[in-house]
Amino acid sequence: MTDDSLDDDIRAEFRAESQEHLLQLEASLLDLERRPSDLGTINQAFRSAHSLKGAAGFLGRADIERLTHAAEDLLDLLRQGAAQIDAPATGALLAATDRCAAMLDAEPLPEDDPGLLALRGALLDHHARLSSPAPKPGQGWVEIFTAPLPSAARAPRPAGEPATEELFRWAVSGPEPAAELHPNDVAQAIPAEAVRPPALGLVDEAASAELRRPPPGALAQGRRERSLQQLVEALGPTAAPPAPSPPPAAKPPTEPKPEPVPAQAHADPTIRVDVSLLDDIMNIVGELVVARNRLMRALGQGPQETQKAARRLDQLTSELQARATKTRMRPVSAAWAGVPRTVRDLCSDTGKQVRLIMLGQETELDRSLLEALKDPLQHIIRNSIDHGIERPEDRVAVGKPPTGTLSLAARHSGGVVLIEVTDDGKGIDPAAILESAVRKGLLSEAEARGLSASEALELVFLPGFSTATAVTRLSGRGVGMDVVRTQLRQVGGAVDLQSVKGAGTTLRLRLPLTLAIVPALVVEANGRTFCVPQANLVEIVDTVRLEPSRLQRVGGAAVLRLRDQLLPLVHLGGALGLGPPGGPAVGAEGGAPCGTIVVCEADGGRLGLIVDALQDTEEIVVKPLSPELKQQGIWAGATVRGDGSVTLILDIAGLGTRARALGAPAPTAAVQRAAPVDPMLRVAVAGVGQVLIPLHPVLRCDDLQDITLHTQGALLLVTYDGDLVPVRPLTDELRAVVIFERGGARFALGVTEVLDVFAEPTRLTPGLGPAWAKASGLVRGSPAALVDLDTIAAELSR
Amino acid sequence: MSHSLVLTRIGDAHIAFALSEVREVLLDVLTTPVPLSPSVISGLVNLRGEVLTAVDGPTLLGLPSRPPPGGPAHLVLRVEGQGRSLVVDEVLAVMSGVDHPLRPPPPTLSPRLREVCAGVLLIGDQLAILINGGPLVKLILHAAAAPAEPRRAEAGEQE
Repeated sequence: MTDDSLDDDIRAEFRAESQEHLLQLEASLLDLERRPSDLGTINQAFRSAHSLKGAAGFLGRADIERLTHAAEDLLDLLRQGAAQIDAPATGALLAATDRCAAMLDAEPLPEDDPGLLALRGALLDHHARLSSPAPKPGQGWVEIFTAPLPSAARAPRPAGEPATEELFRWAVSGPEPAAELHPNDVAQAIPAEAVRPPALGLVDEAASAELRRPPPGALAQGRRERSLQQLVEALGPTAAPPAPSPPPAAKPPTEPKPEPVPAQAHADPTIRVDVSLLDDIMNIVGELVVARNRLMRALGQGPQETQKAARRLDQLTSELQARATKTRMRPVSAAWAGVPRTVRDLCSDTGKQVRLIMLGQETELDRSLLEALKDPLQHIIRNSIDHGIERPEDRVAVGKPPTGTLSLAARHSGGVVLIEVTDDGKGIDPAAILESAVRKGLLSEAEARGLSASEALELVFLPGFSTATAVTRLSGRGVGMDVVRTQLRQVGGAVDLQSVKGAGTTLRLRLPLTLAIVPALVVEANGRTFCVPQANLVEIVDTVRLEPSRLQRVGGAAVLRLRDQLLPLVHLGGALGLGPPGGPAVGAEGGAPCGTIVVCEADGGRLGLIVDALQDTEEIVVKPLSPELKQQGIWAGATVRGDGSVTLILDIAGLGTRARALGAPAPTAAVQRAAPVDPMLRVAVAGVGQVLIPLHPVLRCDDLQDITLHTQGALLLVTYDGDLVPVRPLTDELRAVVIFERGGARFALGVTEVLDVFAEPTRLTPGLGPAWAKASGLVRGSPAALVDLDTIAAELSR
Repeated sequence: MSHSLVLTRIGDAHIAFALSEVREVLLDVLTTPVPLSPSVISGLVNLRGEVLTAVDGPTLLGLPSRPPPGGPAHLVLRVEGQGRSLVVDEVLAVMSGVDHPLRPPPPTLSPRLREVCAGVLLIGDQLAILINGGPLVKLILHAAAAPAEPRRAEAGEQE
């Protein structure tokens, strides 16, 4: 691509034209949802895709061309009447449409770009699925063994003995979804005098085909009996070939298949096993892990041969554990299966237009968590569409496209499953939240004024909270986020929320990969041992090696300067009431430190746990606690260690919340109930007095002598991490700089002196003070102003 | 009607439980205290790999405690699937075929006991209070949720 202006013109025109095609395609697809067989709409969609492909090819955008080609093929299939479009296919086409729209404005993607491959793959899959002669979803199935019968089993059975094994291998398809037949059901249903028909030889081959399971919950008892009936009839003593009696959509066994190869593209040999059996296996594996731990401890000092045997046992146990865990894993798409329908129903009910994107559906998690995920997810999606995404006309009025986007993205990250639900709706207004909270009596006006934007958003998780001015049928009385958080906490998960008013909201759900066995760090505090799950672990800091200047202790809250972040510290023993808070680790004003700091992360926040010593990292079997202990919120469970003792597992998120409340010197009841006190950086600004800066977004503070300031016209800049960061001087007596992050970008404040970290509740009057201040008042008897970082960021962005 | 019972003593009171609601009796167990837990929770107990919550019977029921020199006993309950054990002073007997009629609780019973009491039985010359598992669990949850002061710090203590 040259920089020729002619190319620019062509490119601009191509873009405009393609955008039109994309809009048209999207409209057609949405239309097709309601009227799937409207040939006119299908043709229009096809033409749009075709034009897009052509334009992309003409301009050498191979990435767009490949994607639209796949879409075109799928639409072609529909156009020929060979298949009818359904919800999943529409979803894939819409996703591809979205992607093309994004790609128009971006640099060309390489051929092996994973996102592109995934989208294209999905379209190809749908094509294969819809074009295959096998019965479609909606016509139910029984999942069956797909491995062919070993020849020994083909020996004729004595009459009267039901041929149960062969029955398994038989495909039943019908106009009604078939029940998931259990082997015993089938055996009982066969009349005793049934004779195995000779045609069963063909049945095996038919049985080798992979058939899909009906969506869970789509089955009713009546249908189940009917399928059994079909099965019985078909395999009755008449010895008629089984296949023709169900609707001919099944593989006609009269067609000799060349080899018993599954017809579908992806056919794993599968087997149906009682879930309780898997649970038992998992329990036993758990006990095996405990026994292995004990043995390893005992044999650690033994003779060479014993140690070798022990290592082998260790290895085998780990492998078995991994496999056993895997048997319980299912892709998260199982929990997302109902989402497209929910979204479409909500859209038709609310008159909103929503594009749904689902990424990472193949991400796997423990099957028990799938159940736990469904409810919270439904709730979150309802909220997004009901309260988040605006009506099309409202969106257009603020310059957004009329169709909102709701995306679900799942991925693995360090022992947890992360699911992000993002909408580009109107976001959550912290001010509205505060107003509602005050109105509901959850906190007083004064307290509300003292909260930062992120603290305000946290209020959404309080029980009984709602900002919906109208109680809608869909979301009911409350936003219900407290229920969501509780439900997720119960399975060891967590949720946090980020929102930008006017732009949208993101909810981040974290779920453990496996409930049962997790790696954990065992720590000692005040003579007791506790476990810190590795999923929460960030790093370990040995205080002995630290310069004392990096540890500060002010106003009840100790802080560690860790690289470029200021990390609040919590003495574990103190927080648990086991000994004096503050403990020996940090002396008055940074005296000689001892102990170890375990840096943890949970619910989007970090804290450093001061412990006396580390023991080791172990794979522990997590045992749940009874509700009265769970509700304390600081324990994630308990485990039985190698020596038979019971050790508690910390819930880092809960501990963080509790410790913050305890850290403030005189926490008022309302503060504890409403929100924790976030630590702030206290600086001196000549001509103003004290200035408070929220600590969390602060990246670094530096004295002028350690940094270089540049001027660019009227702008003042400082170098940080290879970037030039704009500085907003709060005073002429500029001797220090505080760098912070806002909305993904970095800014800096010029101040006179950095004083300390401050974590007390304050009573500041909003709107008072300098233009850049959110609130002002007296702090420790002297005037202080709280910086509004958003104002500064906006100023510096212009 | 015939009952099978486990008869226990807390302080001077005789407390009976239906045999069907008791899994087993543990003597001489190690209880791991839980920091910041309500005083009604003694701690955690390891029963062959299962972690049980030990609930302090005397505290829960508002009765004085007089354990024998060997220490208290744990009654592992079979209620609502959750592993819990109730700490009592002493297990007196396991009795079957107790034919005595179940009488309504006397009005002098404390409110807490009345919440969980299914009735009283005359065994020998002493009245035994029959307690049902279901109401007992409710009482446990209630007592644990009440915003009482957390138990005193027992640093380094593992009995």
